[in-house]
Amino acid sequence: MDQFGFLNISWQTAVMLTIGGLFIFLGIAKKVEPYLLVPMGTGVLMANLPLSPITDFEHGGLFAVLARYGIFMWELFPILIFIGVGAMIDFGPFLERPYTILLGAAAQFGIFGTFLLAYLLGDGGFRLFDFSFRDAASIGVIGSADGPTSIYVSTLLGSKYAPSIIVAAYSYMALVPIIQPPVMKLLTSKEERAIKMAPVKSGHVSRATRVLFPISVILIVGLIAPPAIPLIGALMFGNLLRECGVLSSLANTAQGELANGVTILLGLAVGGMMTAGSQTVTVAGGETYQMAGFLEPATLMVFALGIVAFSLDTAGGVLFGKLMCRLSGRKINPLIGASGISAFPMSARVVQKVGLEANRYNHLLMHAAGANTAGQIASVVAGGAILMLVPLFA
Amino acid sequence: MADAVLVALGGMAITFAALAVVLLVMVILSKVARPAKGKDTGGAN
Repeated sequence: MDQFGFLNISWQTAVMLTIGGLFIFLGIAKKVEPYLLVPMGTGVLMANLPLSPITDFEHGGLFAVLARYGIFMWELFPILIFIGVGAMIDFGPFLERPYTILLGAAAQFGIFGTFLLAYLLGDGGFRLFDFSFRDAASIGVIGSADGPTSIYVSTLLGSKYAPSIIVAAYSYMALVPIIQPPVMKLLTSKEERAIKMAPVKSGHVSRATRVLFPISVILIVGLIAPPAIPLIGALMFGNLLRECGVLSSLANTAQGELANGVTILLGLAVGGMMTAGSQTVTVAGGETYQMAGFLEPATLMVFALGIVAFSLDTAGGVLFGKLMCRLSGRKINPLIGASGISAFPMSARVVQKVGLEANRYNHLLMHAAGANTAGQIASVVAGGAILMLVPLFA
Repeated sequence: MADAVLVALGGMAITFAALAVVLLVMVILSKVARPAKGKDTGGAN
């Protein structure tokens, strides 16, 4: 009789099945990140049904295979996704306003600030939660506001909270319109928010610049932060396909079939990693990853720290925007600093909306889009910096 | 905790340094590779 699933249901199982159902509901009914939440929610359901063989790492369950090869062992999924993302992004708004890249850098403050806070709450201070140095750095990377970077860094650092970190990074991107405006308003005056920015003359960026840009970024970032090469290389390769002008079919495949196919597999695999209890993942050579259960207090704290990370990102970007505003003689609206995070294009839209509230003739969208696309590059560089520095101390 | 502060400061420094170099190269590129009148600027322009 024990072979029946319904006879093995516990309250933890019921909670996880509810969470899976909620993800599917939010994705379909509320259109919140549906491309990710629907596969992920389905993965949660299949992984948490009692006696489900699909996450069995010993006997090659489907989700176990996807997680092992796509995420933990070869980190295939984040890299392939980035080729698609690169092919989708038009870096034109950034190339017309290259100074916005500094706002992208400033808006990575959330990564490092949250890392410090997580480590203080964990092994580095109060020991309230089981956050090691590597766990804390991985939790900080939620502040990259970038799913692939969060996956890549947290799994390479071997964090037991990797599944929660990945879910937090993706789900908070959908909450950017709720998280960012209060921080933006808190740190700026109405006069600052109302500053109008001059439009940039179109036709400013040559095709040669657009083609040389991805190649230059691969070389520069690769020489300064080598651990970022797989991610920045994939992102910029995708963008080169888009901009070179002779590979439109490959660019279309990268942003279409490739990105969609990997999104399905990634969503299912991440959902499959979200189980109530802890799991042990075995990869090549007997190396194991211990993954924390989704309903443990420390995991819930990871989600709380995710909100802190996004808020600190916004604060870092806006404060740097205020500095640029002063230095430019009030020609730069500090709000555009908030879109220095990688959540594209939601963050740029939020800046446009908050700017319009202060001045109904104020159109900041394209300026904010520049900072937003710059944030995509900045988040990868910051992730690479974490991968460079953390192994030196832990 | 001192190690964590070093990583945080170092991380921000590396991020700013790498992106400042990208900015510099982009500024140089935009001066060297200006679009000629009537030439294709890559679609978005």
